[in-house]
Amino acid sequence: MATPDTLTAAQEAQLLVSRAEWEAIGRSTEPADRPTAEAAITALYAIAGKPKPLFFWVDGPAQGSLLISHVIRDDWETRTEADRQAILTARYPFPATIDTSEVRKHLSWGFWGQHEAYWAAYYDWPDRYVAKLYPDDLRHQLDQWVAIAKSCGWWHPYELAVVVCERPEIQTVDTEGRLHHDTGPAIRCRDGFEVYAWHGVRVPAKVITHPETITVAEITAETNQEIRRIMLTRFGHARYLRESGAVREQGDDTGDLYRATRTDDTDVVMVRVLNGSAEAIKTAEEVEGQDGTWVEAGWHKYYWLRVPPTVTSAREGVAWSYNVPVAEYENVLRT
Amino acid sequence: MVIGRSMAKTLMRPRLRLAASAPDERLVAITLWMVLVWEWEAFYSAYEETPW
Repeated sequence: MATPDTLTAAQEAQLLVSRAEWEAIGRSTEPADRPTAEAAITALYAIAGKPKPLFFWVDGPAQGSLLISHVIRDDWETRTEADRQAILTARYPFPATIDTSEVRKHLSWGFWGQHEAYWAAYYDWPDRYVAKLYPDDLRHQLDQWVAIAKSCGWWHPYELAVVVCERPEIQTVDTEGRLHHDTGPAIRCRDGFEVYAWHGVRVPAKVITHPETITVAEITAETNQEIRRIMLTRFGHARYLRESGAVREQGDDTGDLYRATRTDDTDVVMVRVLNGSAEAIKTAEEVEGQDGTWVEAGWHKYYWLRVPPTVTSAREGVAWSYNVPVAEYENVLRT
Repeated sequence: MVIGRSMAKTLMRPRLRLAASAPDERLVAITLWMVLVWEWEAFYSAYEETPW
């Protein structure tokens, strides 16, 4: 079939609309549309020449893997009703009474439902908006994959049964589409499984929820450079300098240069500068514990400028923060 | 009840046939930029690396 090699203006405009629609499908946190998902999955079984499977709905992949670890051991029939209910209602982290020893073997899922939206969108879009590409039987099959993407989360098929997950109840991304949340989980499944992420980098929960409890020792001990950078950001560069035994290397009339030497990573170098304007503060109690100092009757805040590790003077660092060479910075000061 | 073996490959085979009959290379190139990029790797790896 001849296919066009350019898009019309209307088709290009539609691409943007479609992309937004499919992003919303992939990031939906609505409860699953169970009738739609079951009909579509049953249709795929029919295409493969198989009868309708038995559906096991679970609140998320963690609960699903637990279920699969028991179902595919083929002992579902021999379990007590209490055991079955315990598995079907388990929430992550699982209680000690649940046997999770088999779960690790069953973490892989065949299909990702809404998280495979890119696949369905890619094959659906040109057929729908550019030119008819598929014979009726393939279009019918694609319709099922589209319906699944729009209706449920991860799923895995077996000969007689299929395990299907509810969609997560939280899914948040930053403006670049990376998993991110600055106060809570970026993903939380309905079975309790959570993922904490900072602009696409997975981090321990407390880095997000309780950054004030991070310690210098933990930052130093973290072997993953990306995670350590985020821990440092959450901890605060200025506080890190104060608490890590950073050395004051140099000082001049612009401020003081501090360096925290790190053996396996770039040094943290900052310039501490004093705000020229006093804060509207009347008593010492108001500023207790804050980073600043009294200059005669006025209280001034310190600001910390993170500068490149190659900087060797406070003046050079301040000039760098203005994006000008030191000589030019001197001229600015003079004029 | 014996649930039996995984059906993932069985369901995947017709899907691969569908993909094989899909857009020619030029149309793929045109539509490639609308392919949605998901950052779910963090989710997948978190899931598989969890100390169960």
